Amino acid sequence: MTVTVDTEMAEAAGAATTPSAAVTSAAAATSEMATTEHAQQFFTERLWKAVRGGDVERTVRALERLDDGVRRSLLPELKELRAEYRREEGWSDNWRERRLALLFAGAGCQTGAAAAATWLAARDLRRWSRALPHEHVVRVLRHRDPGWLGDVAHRLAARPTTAAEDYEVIRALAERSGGPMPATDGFVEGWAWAKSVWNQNRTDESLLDRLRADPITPDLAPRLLSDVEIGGRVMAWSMEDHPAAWTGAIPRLCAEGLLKRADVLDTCIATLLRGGRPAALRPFLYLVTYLRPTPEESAAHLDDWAALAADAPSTVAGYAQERLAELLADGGLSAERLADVSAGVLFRTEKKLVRAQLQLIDRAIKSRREDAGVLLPAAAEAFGHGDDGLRERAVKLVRRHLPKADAAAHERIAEAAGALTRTQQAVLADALRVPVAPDPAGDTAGPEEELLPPPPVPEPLGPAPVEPAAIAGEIAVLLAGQGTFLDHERGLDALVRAAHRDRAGLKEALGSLPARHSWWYAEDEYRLQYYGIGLVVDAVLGELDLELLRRGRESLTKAGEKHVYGAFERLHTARLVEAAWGIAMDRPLPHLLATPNTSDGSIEVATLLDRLRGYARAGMEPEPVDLGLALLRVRVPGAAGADASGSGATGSDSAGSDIAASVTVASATATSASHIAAARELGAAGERLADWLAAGGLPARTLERRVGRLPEGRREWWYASRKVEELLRMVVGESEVLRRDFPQPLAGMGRGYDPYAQPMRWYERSARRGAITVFPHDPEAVAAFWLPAVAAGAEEDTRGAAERLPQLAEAPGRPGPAVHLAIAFGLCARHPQDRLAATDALLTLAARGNLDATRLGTDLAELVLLGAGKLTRLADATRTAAQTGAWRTIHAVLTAALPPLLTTDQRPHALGALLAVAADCAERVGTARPLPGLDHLPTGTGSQLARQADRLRAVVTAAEATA
Amino acid sequence: MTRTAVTLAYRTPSALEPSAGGSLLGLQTAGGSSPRGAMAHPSFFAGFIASPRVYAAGLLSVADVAAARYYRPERRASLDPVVTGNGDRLRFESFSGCCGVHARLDVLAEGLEGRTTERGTTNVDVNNPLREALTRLAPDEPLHLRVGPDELAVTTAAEGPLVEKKVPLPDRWVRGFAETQVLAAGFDLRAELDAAQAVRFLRSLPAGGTAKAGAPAGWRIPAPGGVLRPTSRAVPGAVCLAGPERLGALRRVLRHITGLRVYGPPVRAGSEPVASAWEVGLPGMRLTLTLSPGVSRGFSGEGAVLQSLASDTAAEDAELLSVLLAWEARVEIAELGAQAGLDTARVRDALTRLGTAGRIGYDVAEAAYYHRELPYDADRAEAHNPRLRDARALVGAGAVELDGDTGVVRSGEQVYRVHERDGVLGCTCPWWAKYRGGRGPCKHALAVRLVRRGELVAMAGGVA
Repeated sequence: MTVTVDTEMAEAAGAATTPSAAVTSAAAATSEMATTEHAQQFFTERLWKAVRGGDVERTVRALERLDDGVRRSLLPELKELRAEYRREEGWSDNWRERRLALLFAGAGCQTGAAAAATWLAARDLRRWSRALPHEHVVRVLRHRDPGWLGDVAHRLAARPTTAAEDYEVIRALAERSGGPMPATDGFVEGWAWAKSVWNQNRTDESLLDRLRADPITPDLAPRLLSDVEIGGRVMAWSMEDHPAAWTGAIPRLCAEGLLKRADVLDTCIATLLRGGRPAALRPFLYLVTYLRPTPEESAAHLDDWAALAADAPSTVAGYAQERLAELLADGGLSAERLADVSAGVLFRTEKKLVRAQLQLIDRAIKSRREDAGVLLPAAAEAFGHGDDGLRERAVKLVRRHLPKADAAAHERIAEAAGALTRTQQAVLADALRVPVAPDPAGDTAGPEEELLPPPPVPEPLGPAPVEPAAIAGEIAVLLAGQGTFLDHERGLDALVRAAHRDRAGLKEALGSLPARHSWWYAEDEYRLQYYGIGLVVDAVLGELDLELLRRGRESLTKAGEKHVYGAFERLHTARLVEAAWGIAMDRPLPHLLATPNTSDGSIEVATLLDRLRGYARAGMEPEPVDLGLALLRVRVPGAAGADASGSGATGSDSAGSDIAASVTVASATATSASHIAAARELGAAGERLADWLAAGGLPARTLERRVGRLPEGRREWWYASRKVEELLRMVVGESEVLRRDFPQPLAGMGRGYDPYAQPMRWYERSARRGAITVFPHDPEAVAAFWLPAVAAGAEEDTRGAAERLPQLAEAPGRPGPAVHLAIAFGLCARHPQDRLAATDALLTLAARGNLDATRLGTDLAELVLLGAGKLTRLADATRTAAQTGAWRTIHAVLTAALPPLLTTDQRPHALGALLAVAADCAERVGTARPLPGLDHLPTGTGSQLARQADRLRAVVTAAEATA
Repeated sequence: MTRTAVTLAYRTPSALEPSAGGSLLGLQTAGGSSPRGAMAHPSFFAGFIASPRVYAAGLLSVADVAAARYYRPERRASLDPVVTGNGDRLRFESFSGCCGVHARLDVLAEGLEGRTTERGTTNVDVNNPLREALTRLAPDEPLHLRVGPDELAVTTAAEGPLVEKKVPLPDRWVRGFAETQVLAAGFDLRAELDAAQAVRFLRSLPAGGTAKAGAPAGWRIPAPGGVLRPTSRAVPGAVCLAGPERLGALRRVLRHITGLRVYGPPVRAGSEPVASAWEVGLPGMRLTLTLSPGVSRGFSGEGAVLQSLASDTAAEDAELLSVLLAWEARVEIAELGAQAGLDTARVRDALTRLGTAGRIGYDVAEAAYYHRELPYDADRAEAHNPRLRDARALVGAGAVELDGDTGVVRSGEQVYRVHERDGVLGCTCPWWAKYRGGRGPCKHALAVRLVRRGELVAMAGGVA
């Protein structure tokens, strides 16, 4: 380095006309300031060259020669350059270096400490370059006085965003200033990272050596230990007893006396007390555990242990609990204090902590029986715990020591016992001197009322916008790929109506919409499909390729696809093409026929008649797909699939609903006759509707429930995390009416569907989602189409598989075996959100009175036995449903599901969890009918299975006793 | 991100000290305002607290929220809580660093044993030793609370502050803080749970420390029997619970709660996630957490604040009202209207406007505004609202044309149309298409609104 500087000096000297002064000064010291005006000018030019060229080293070197006056004069131009860089777009090869050079030049030219610090921290100049080379900073600032340097150091340290990465710079400046080191969070973090050893094998120096050698360790280490975030981040990197790890180095420094052990211990405990992310607390807990408080220290921290056991994350609380146990054994914990701590700990959800605390109380009473009166009411706090086993444990504990307690304790325990189940209360009752108080929440107050959500009310389609600007707003939403099914339907109808009414006005409003052309598909059909609603927009604007539209119209009417899903995919395009065609051919449709009335996708007959009258008035014939879809969506009164009853209990009072149904059918027939007569007067399309109504809509398709395997090599295992070989599915029969009387692509949906012969591909999932909007009155067929996708949520752990099940349950048509099977799959889905959707669907069916609990239970059992359903998932789903108040419904489902699972040779995993849900339900419903297969289960062994089986048996015994 | 810093200067650190017959909790104050104007170290209260332990836990919950970031927790933020004295109660407020959670502890008259408080708003110092001491508070120890400096010590420490905290104050944080109050004013009571039901519900929530940003927002339907039934999608009457882990701040007080009340805006089937408020009752106190619609979504972008621009007169009315308000615990709209000579609708608009400037709070439990002025420069933050700034730039560039009811905004190559439907200004831009009013008006709609208000000249001056 010296050599290069010397050459440069020689250059400078040679260039100068009065060389002697420059040469002498340059020769005297390599980095001293140039003394002559000429030399100053020379180095100024060099500086600009280096700054603009992005040569950091030369920039620093040139700057070292310039005095303060010159530096100050350069500042405006440097600021100008910075602004220029900010405006710069794109990326050049020395982008970073040019900015860094400017960073050092500017920092060196600032005369105020605050301005220098701000310049050094400038984000725009140091992007992509993390830590600044600190020796450069020192070189450009070396001529400043120490106080000034210290000021800059402290200012940099006070910047939260850059202080950590500027640690080296700050430290170098602070050391030169001779003043105190900063102690900000960022500086401490920078220090800690700088000391950390990443790979012990690569360096001879351990973290311990580095800390020992650093004079500021005694000041900064306590800071690190008192900051849960920074300390947690730095120290959790490697938590072992090794001099290279912080958790190993700190105790060693304590042993050497560099840090005070007692202080470190206090600091770490205080940090644990303040709390933070459990992961960040781990190294602190490690240190406290490692330093092992002596009995005296532990006693001094009694308040801390008490607070930690009650409120800290479970590992920390567990440690504190152990210390409390030690203090108890040594006699350092009074009964009153233990009772106070227990009230907090027993309130926690962690079973392990609660169990340990109950043991602690047990031990305390055993050693000093006179404390029972204080401790037992505290133990009764666990009566309210969510876990049944723990409640039982607490009951046993209290029962055992109850005779030792005083009257006041009995009173308080009796009060707390209200939260227990009746079986548990019975255990306590004979030993308690006071009767158990009834629980205000009414958990155990006899058989409960069934609470189901209100039956669904379909949301009506809002009024379509009329103003061209408002239409443009709605269409912009659709073009952006947003909006619900209803938004699409309404937007399309609004476009068609407005094009018919005032095409010029619409054209002006739509002209400003963002670009919508889709040019990246070679095939016509895909081009049309990905145009989306833009197809109709372009038709209005007259920008549509008519040839493309014509070809698309032709190809869509051909019977092309082999699989039924393809028809669903093409239906939307076919409707758009119909609408666009009318507009492009200057024969715009007055409106659409198939726009639904409500969110469930159905149309009222009266509405459809009105729409057909509109066509008759305009003297136009409806487009075939639009008409076909309208027929599929129209609510046919008295049809086989129509949902007669709105609500009712779970298929129990059949006599009542039969009468209601027959009344409905009678009145429906009358209105239906008048509708048919009205339709006959409306031309060919009206005749179609009349025939359709007379025939009762679409005949139900045959559905066959089957268990089978996919042919070899037909399953896409590559995305599945789990394999299920035996698949339960529904095979859908052909619909002759659809194939014969409907245009493509609706006719294509009439094909039969065999899920084994036509395995679903991953990309078909989304295409099938629209099926419910095509067949709102036939949820059974839709469920069968959906089944492979829904089943994947349970069989292959895919996400979002069941999210549309509530739609299925709310569909106006009557649900049957296929819908039940789909819900069964949903209840066994891998992801909680999917199970929740299935639960919603289940409760909706129950609220509508359409749930066949036995059917669902049988399906669930079969899925579990086939390996598609896991009981942990099913238990979670049924528990969620039951806890909302549907105890009776879930009880009925589980009563059907459990017997096959109890009697099978290989007992499924986690049967106990499902039995627990069943027992919860049974206790509330109070059934007297023993569950078939319960005899196969053990009794009194203390296992979860035996405990739950005993609960179920007890319910039957209790019911028999009252009967 | 625009940010400034605020320096909070306290006389001494707040501390919990043993004193005759119990403990003395001395909360130190810095800055703020009162009916008598700006003050350096106001004193609001001195007296015994009815339930010391519960109060300590509640105060720690508020401090937890102030120190928390539920989204990207590795970054830190810590501003001290803000305390407001409303005459009969003290309110301790904080806002999380991620701008997604607002917490407020209301210590009501019975919690203060009936003692009255001075009126005003200020910051209170919460430091590490204080937090530790509050956590360790022994059972059954009487607690004397003092909000403000010790009057006896003042004479000796008159030279100046001993504790200075310099804390970054991002604009979006201040804006979000203000926004919570505007949003909360649109909330209704959705569910009410008794103590046992509330504990059961709160315990059923995930206990994990970090909220998952990507998790779908949960919806809860209040069902009979004090159950908040989880459901997979929005339905009328449901409340949104996004990032349930964020209710973890309630865990400290869980043992003491007497009930839970849940508030939220009206939702329709299929609604996008919305904000919600969760109020737990405590002996003599109420602790309310207001959650944003998503873990990664702060209140600052919700845009409810921008709606208040709709009314021309709101700004002037707000100025008028701000003179009349004197830290009332409950702002009676009719009474205030009578004093100011404004009708109810205008008072409401003006209050919203004050809310956006951080100069009024909303108490969902009483369904009423209360007066408090955030001790930050909230006006500045609001003026620098990015969307508003962009709108002004559009107006300044002459990009807005009015065409009858429709506004045409030219932005680069693109032309957007702003139209009114059901009282809401919609637009054809992709941003509007994405949120459709869920986050307030877009910049084009704002620009049209500004032009309609004839602020063309004033705004053009502001841009330059």
